[in-house]
Amino acid sequence: MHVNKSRLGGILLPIEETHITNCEECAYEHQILNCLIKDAEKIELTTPPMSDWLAIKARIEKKKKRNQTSIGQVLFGVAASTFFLAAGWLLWSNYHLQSQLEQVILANQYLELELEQEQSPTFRQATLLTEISGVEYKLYHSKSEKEKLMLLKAREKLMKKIVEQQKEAHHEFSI
Amino acid sequence: MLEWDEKLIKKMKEGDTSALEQCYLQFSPTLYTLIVKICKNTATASDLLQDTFIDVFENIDSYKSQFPFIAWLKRIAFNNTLNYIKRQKMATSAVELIKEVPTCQIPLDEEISQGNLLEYLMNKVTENDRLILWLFIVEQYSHDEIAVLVAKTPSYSKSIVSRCLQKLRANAEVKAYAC
Repeated sequence: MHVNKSRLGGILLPIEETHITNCEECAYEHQILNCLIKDAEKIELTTPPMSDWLAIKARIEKKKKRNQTSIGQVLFGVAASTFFLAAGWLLWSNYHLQSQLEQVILANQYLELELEQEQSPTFRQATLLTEISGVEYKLYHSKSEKEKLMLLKAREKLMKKIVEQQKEAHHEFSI
Repeated sequence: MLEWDEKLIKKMKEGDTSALEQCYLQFSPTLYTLIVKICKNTATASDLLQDTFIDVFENIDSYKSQFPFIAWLKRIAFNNTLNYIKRQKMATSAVELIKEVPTCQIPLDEEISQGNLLEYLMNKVTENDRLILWLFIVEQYSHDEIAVLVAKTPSYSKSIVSRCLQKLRANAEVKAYAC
């Protein structure tokens, strides 16, 4: 049985040394490895050319610059996406408000048409009509679209009341 | 030669260029020598040395001070060299080129007579075998350590070392040198 190959070239145990004296193959490998290790100690260091350091330095600076650019790009991206989100939300809310206004105006116009058919209003209807004209006055002076929407809704309610009262009066008469 | 100060690692982590330069001046000859000896090509060695130092400066935060700094540097250099050898191997097999083993400039007999048995052997084997030989003979890595580095079994490096020694045995002059 031969000496463990990974032990050759180093300090051997007495039993391994005894084996080496009798085994030509192990003795040769041990001797050669010793020679190679001795040669390794004689290896002289080679200094690399200075251009290598200059190239490394340039690459480091380039990478640093690239990192700075990427941080700037991220910030720009965040700012741009925030802007687009805000603009989108504003457009959507404006559109939503506009469509609500259109619906309320249509409802008001429909009620006005119904009211026009009745020529002589009662006392209660006249009170409601006064309230409506007060709402219309406010509507005329209102500036924001939200306020207009609220006033139009109130006007719609009042007009509905008048229409309902008219219907009730017709029923009374018919009975 | 400049003295290496462990405080410089802290400065390197902070991105101090003068500390990086000092690190380069201190360790580049060691790393360059080992790469040149394995690759046998100064242009490739320069490229691999640059890659190694770039990797060192970029990953300095991952360095743990309980291990010697030079061992960490060498590990990166060996990994880069090994990757280069793998790439070369793939490129060679892709074009089906039979690359001749690089021959040395100095006559072999002269090397042996000058006592450069290691140089002689390094010139006789392939890049991959040179890496294994360097790790085993010069760096005194065990076969288990080499196995971890090259992601192979310990018997892989054992068989390479044994095969290389067999090559030497075939040469009568080497026999004479060894005896």
